[in-house]
Amino acid sequence: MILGGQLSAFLRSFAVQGSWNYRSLLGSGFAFSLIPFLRRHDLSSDELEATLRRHLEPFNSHPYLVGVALGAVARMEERREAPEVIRKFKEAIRGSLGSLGDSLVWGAWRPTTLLLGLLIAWAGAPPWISVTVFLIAYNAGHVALRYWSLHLGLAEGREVGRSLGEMNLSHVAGRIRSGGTLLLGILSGALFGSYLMGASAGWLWGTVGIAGFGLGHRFGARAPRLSGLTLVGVITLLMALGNL
Amino acid sequence: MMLALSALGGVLGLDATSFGQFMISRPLVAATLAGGLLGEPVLGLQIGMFLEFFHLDGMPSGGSRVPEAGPAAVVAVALAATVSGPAGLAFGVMAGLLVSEVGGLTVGVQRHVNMALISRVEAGRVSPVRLTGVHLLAMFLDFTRGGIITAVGVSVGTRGIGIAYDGWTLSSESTVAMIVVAASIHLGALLKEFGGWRSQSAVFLIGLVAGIAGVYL
Repeated sequence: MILGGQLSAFLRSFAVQGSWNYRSLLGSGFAFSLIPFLRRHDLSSDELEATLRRHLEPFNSHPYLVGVALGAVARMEERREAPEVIRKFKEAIRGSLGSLGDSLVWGAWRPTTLLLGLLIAWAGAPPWISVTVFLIAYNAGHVALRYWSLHLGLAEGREVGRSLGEMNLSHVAGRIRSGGTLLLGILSGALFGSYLMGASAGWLWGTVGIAGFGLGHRFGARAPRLSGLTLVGVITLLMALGNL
Repeated sequence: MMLALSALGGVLGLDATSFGQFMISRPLVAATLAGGLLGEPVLGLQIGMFLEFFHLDGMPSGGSRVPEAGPAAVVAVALAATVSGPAGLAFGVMAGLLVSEVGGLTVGVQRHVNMALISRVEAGRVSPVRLTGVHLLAMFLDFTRGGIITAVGVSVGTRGIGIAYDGWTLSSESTVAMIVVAASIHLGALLKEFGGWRSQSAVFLIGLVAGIAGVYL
């Protein structure tokens, strides 16, 4: 249960990336989110300033899992652990919070729920249905993850890294990705069957579409950026030719 | 209407990184919201769906620069709504992709501004009030940035819409097919992100057959 200053810190964690920058990364947002906890620690104004200054140092994490570090650091600060110990803890945990969140949220949960919304849209549901289904599904996981991560950090303190490792969240991400792959297959089949094969010269569009799919799979994240800009170029060219 | 669209663009700019990340800034949602504002929710959903394909894959990890889709989706729908038919669709999607790249560049600038703001805090006395004030200022600047991107995108795009209307000769079917072909590259890249053909082929093929069957049944 998150109460009092903890609720305030939880709400602030939604703005943890508000001043994200290339030097301290998420550090300033981390200090900003930690303020409600520090205010309850009965610190003098000089101690509060020194503590905040320490937490302005570079730190990074996936934004939804930052609560793990926030809660654990709040516990460590409450117990007046040495600044060097706290700094080393933050350095040790930042990498795993980043990669775990990227894999679980950006690489699995978000695309899977988006595919669900897109499928509903393709099926011809009213606009607000597909959007609402996506937002509810996505944010149920999102808000629960934020709440859980802060709760876990507060409960486990500096031992939170070990607890995270035991939970095997990468296995959960793998299961979500399998669900996402099924939805991706359905959407690909639906798009190819309706928009490509259904168009005039359907086999030609279909063949080019399959080739494009293969290209994207072969080159991964490197190919797509180019495809958007190529489409911009092709549309511009076609418009220019049409105006001749 | 421009003020409402800019305010929406500002909120979407905030949602992408600075506040919440509730994903209202995803093209699917952002374009439908813009369509609702303009009285064209179905067009908004259609544009949002096509733009979403181009942003499905890829991870915004660390400080990597990624296209900013939210305000761009508002621009795309605002422009598509002014021209009927396939010309509007083509011009809207093109504008959406182009503005998202420009938006991504401005996010980089915003992060440099944030760095300067935080450095000023560190140079003086670090109090909770001062840190909170600067943090909120950075978020306000991000909101403003999103609003400006939207306003400039719609204003500049409106000037070019006549060229699009006169010059577009492809049918509606061919326009959609062309966009889906370009988007298929992103779908392939997403399969790779999900584990790739070797590990996911069975699940993917089951879905593919179900999807094709769904079209013809």
